[in-house]
Amino acid sequence: MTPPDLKDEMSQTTAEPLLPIEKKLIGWSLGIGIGLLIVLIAFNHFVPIKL
Amino acid sequence: MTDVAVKAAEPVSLKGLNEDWLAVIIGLLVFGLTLVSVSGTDVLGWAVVTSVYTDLSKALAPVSKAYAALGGSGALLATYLALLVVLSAGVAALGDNVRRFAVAFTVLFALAYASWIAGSYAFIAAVTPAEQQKFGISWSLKLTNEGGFIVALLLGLVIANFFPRLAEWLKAAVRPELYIKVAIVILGATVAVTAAGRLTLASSLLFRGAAAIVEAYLIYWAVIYYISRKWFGFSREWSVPLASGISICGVAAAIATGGAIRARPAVPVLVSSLVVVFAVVEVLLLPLLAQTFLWQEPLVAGAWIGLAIKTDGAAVAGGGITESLIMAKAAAEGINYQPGWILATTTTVKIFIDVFIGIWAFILGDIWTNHIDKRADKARPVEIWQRFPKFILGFLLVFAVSFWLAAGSSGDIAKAIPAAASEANVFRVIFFILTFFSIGILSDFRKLWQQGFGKLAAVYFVSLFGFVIWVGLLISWLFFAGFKPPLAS
Repeated sequence: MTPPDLKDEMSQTTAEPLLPIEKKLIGWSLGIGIGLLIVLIAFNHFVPIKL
Repeated sequence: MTDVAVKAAEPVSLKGLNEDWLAVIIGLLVFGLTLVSVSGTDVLGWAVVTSVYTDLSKALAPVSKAYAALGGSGALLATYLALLVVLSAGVAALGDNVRRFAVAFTVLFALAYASWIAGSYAFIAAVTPAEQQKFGISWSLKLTNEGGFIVALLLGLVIANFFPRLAEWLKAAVRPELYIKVAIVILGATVAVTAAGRLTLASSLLFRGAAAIVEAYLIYWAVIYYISRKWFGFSREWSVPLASGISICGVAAAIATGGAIRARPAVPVLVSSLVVVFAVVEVLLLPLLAQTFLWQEPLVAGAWIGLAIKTDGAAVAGGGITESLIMAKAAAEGINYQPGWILATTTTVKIFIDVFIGIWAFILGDIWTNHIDKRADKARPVEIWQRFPKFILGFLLVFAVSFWLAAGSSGDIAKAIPAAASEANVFRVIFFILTFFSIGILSDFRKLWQQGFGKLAAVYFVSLFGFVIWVGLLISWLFFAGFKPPLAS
């Protein structure tokens, strides 16, 4: 496959709707990610960097 | 970088070796030889170092006074020959054309090291008023001698964009992934010596590196995948490598996750080209922004560079430039930080992110082959290991041995380790120079534009400058603000 083929392919491709499994992946990733960040930020607050 | 990256991501070749493992072997070889010096025999002291200069004849010297008789030119020649022999042997083991590599590497090394020497010219590198006075100059760009990295990158860019035939010819030796991985393995010694000096600070930084994993895999990836699919209408096959390239660690992640979802090989390779071009822009821009706005928060700057710049090479090398620029600015204000901490923070963040590539690729592969493209062959757990970046094992081994020697061994050995690590660091710098130059050579902006990947670039641009950089800054600030590297004694 050459780059021009891919270029044509990109301009011609019809949109693929998001499948439920993709929505789940995005939702769970963000949910777990934000949750874990909150936990880490709380930990960072209570156990600050020691010099 | 793309072709090289493909090779690195493939399962181990018939000969049992790929670029990833080769980087481990070369890195361990350098480290092993520096350890010999701990016993009192200096076997790497001939390696060339460059000082800031106004008189070119005084720019080069061997790193150890024991090899002073070699002179600067002799040290440069010895360094070139040693690298040529070791890298040619590696290329031969990979089954590539050694003769072509050796010829191209000779030119590549000459141009790259010439850039480094140019970057050490006092008008470019001198930082403090005392240094300017020492060299009898009234002004300088204050880029430190690590400004040579930028010179190497710019020279590579000029060749790639204005002398495409030369760039094409040089490609036999353009192996930025190999060079940066060797450098990272060697860097393990410097990071360990730095950490051994301040254990509590080091362990605190290590823990905070974990936030980078969450950010890159769970937040960046999800948002960028959504942007690519929903706003720009890209297919799943394009969106997965694109999201991975922008959010995780550039080339390696694009290739690994592209392979995991069974994308056609050309797709992640083209995404990788884009990653390299944007990494060049970031490496030119972000360290200067960090110096301007974050010089009073050096660890925030180090973490930010690790989170914002994609591809290991550009990120870790960008961390090195950021450290030099911030330390220079702080020194001008009368604050002298201990070197190594900013780069160690960038490296920690980057290594933490890299470690999980295999697992993330497996998760995506599992979802894709079981729920989306059920005809494809199923993802297997062994792929986690196959896609694991092996050079990290080299880094960890070098780190562990150096740390043990620096913190847990007898007085004499512990005292000798920092000198040995700084000798190893000479090679780390040389591999950084080769990386910068190689990245420049691969960044043909016109070619990318001609190929019509403006839409892909638009996703990258929107994600990077509209989201990744700022969220990375916020997270870095939340975790590292207010904590400074120790002051130099």
